[in-house]
Amino acid sequence: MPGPLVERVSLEFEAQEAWPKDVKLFQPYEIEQILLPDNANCLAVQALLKMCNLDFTVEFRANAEAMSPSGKVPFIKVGRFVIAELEGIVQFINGKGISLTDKLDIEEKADLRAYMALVRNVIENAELFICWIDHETYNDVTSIRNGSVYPWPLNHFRNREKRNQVIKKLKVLDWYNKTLPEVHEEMANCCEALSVRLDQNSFFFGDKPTELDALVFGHLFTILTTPLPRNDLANIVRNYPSLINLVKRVETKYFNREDGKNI
Amino acid sequence: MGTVHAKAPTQTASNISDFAKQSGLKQESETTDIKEIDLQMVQARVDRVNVDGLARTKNDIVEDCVQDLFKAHDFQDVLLKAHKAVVKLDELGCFKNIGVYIDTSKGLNATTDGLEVTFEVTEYKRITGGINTQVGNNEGSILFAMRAPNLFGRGERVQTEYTRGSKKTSNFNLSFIKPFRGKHRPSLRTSILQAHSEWPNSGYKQLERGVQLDFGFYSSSLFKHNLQWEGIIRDLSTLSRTASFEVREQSGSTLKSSLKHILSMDIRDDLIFPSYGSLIEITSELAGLGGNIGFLKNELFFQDNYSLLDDIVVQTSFSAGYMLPMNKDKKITIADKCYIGGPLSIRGFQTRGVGPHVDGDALGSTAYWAAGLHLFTPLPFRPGRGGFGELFRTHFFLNAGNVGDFSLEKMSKGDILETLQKNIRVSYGLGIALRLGSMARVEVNYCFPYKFDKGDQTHPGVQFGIGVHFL
Amino acid sequence: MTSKEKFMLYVYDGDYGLPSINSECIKALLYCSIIEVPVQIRTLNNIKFCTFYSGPCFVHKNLSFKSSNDIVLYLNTLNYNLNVNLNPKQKSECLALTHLVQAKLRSVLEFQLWIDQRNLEEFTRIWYGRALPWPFNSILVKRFKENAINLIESLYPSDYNTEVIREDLQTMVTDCLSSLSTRLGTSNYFFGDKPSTLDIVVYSYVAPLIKLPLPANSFNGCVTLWPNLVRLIKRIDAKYLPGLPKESKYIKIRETTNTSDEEVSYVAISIFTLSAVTLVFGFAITRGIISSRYF
Repeated sequence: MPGPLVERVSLEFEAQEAWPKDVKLFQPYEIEQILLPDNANCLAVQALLKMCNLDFTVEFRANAEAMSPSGKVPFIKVGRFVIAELEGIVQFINGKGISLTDKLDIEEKADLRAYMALVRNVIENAELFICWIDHETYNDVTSIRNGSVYPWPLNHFRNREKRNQVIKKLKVLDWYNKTLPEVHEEMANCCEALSVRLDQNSFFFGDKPTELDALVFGHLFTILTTPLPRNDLANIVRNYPSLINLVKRVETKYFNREDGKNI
Repeated sequence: MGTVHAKAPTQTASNISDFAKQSGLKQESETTDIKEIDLQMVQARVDRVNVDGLARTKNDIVEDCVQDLFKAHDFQDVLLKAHKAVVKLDELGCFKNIGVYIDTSKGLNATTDGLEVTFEVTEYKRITGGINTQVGNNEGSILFAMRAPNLFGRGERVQTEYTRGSKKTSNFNLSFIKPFRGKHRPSLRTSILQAHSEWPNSGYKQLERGVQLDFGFYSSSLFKHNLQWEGIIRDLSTLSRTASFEVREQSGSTLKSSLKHILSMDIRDDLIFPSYGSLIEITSELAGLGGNIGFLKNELFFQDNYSLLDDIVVQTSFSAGYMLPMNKDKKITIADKCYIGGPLSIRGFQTRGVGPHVDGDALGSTAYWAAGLHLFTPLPFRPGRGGFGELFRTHFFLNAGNVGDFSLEKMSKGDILETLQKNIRVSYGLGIALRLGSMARVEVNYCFPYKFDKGDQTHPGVQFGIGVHFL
Repeated sequence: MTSKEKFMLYVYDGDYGLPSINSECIKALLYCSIIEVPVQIRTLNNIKFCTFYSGPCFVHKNLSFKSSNDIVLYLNTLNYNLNVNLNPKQKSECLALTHLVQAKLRSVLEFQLWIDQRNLEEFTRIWYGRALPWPFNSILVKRFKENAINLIESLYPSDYNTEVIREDLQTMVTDCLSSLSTRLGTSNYFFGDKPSTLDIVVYSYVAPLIKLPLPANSFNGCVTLWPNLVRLIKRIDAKYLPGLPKESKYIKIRETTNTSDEEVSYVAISIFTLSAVTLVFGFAITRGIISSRYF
């Protein structure tokens, strides 16, 4: 079975080809199906591609998660290749000679990796916690949206399976037993750290955006604009004006939408 | 008249001539002073029927099996009906051994010409089980089974089976079977099952879990009907990262709720190397009452055998099917489509080798037909005659077939017939076929694919096939 | 202090120059050692302790804390603070880098100890089997193994091939260590001359990778590529964890295999001779070559 090593070699050969015109990004249905953490990741990848000036179209599929080679959305189809998740897509794009981080020095690149790990470890897990562990949100929003694409009784089985998967993951990462105030505190610490790093700059590493900006934008924009029974995460984020400004900046520059819901 | 003992062997004979042979009634006896007797002229009637060895089995179902004996009026009739009764008792599934003893009736109510028939049966234990091998679709598998036969005395049984196949398939099922009394021999079966299978020719693997209800009955002594409902949750996923995108698009979970009707008639004399008789199977499946899969699928399989000379058999077979989609919200997945090609179908092609392929993955089609013309002869020069050599046959074949797709373009009936006539695939060849007990056939053929499409995957040369249901 | 007010820390035993075999316990021990918390350390190697506590467990008065994060937070409330000298920017970096290490190196260590079959059978199981009393050794081994499997499964939900996962982890480790090495540079510790929680976390995952003599240690080579990280480990060893025995306590490290081929165990020789003699004798008797009034 070809491993990542072989795939990397074949990706190198593809690097010579330019970005094709029919690249598609696959994600679950936006209106009825997609959940907060997946929406955040999909938006982050969309922001990344726009920052790199790469054309793509969005395709909605109910089984996008099952189609993905790694089991997580979003994934993009570039010619014959199918690549999932932000980190994988960044690697693929770099292989084609396109990079947002080539002006960064080694220390900044190390910082970039560290802060991306921070966002993934804290914000994404907090989102998963709120969606799947908090009973109110799970019953009112998550279970309905996740099961909306399946007929009865398949929707109940899928919800239960997915929830057990998420619980297993959160247990292993020591998040399952956290109380809601603890989750809020982790979130606050994370936002504080990001805010301090961002300082007064336009983007995290100067005045050009990087994948960290895309990731932070994806998560914070989604948190701020998704209506949930509990708005705690959104309220925490609103305490950090520099982060809100970053989100607004990316939105206006790359998404050209005036979204009234944003603050 | 003397005492007549007719003792059936422990293994029930499959037909009356074997039964008669084994009972030693044909006149190849050692003693010289036996005259030829025409059994039909011997007047006889059955006075009493005894069944020994019943413990938990209820009387009424046993009575149903032996009722007919009382209608016999001559000796040959008695023998025939006794044989049929043994077959019916065996089919109940309650008894391990069935022995028959025919004696003149003695005692108070005896009539002249009266006979007393005694069936000696051994009931199954409460729980039986075992490890068997079985042969499936070009793979062998090992089967672990546990059964509780004859639970409540009327032939009901609960069984659980676990099978592991050589092609990484694994099955588990737990079923409850209840036969009913009646002329039409109805029986009900409910089961829950889980099956995992891999289809490398199409690039996917599937896990099916669900429930199945099956109601079977005979509308006449020849035609067997099965009405089934199944509710299956199916998870499809690609086998490797390099699977084609068309297959990747089908990944995910689907729920299929379908009604199936299977009509079959099998009057062949043997399952593996029939020398006369035919087999018809017609299957109709309607999926879509609930769930997100919807289609109407009809399939036909027909086989006829004709003996030219003693051991030379000509066999013709024909199989066809088509699928129609139901409505827009319900889909047909790659797992439900029709596939032909392979050592059990059109030989000379890889399994699922006929039809549309993308990147080496067979995608299946919604209409097909396949036909075969076979000639089975014993081995040249007949080595091992009467013994080992009987297991082998030389086999000459001519296979043809074609596929068409309803869903691809909006076609009318005439168009489909036209598509099915163009671009026919043909292959021919010869080989050796071997019988594996009474359960399977092994074929080793040298194939010449004669006409095929660019996208097909052919398999010229030596091809090996093992299975039960060959085209 | 009365016994109720003393700090007690229950940890799993250490070996090979590590204060404990378990990374969470290392974090707790190192934190207490650096801050100089007057804690009494109890090793979980008898049945009485193992029944009530699982490592690490910090007990004070009636409170107990089971994870290193909770322990640190509690000690902070008692004014035992390690990161006081960090400015907000450094605190932010510390948090980010801690998460990086936690995400990447933890998976690698768990994979090495619990998923790699050779390591599991030839080292981990044996070590835990000897270090912990029965039945806790098998219970805990089972639990840790399940945790490791769940962790790797949540990271790689669609990959089932350990080789693929191992390669991916290799790149992950290299990237992570290179980031750490860059950040450390030439200073003594990550944020100046005093260790911070980041140094503790790095130590707790990198030191086992270097020090444990795992039979299949493909990741060992990675760490030695960054000498400043190796020096950091040694520095922490020297200053805050003195006097840890380097030889193995539970598993005698075998000599290199080519000498062991020549040594033949006397037990094996005697068994072989005895069975050969019995066979010959028995053969002779059955053949009637030797007869005696006893047979």
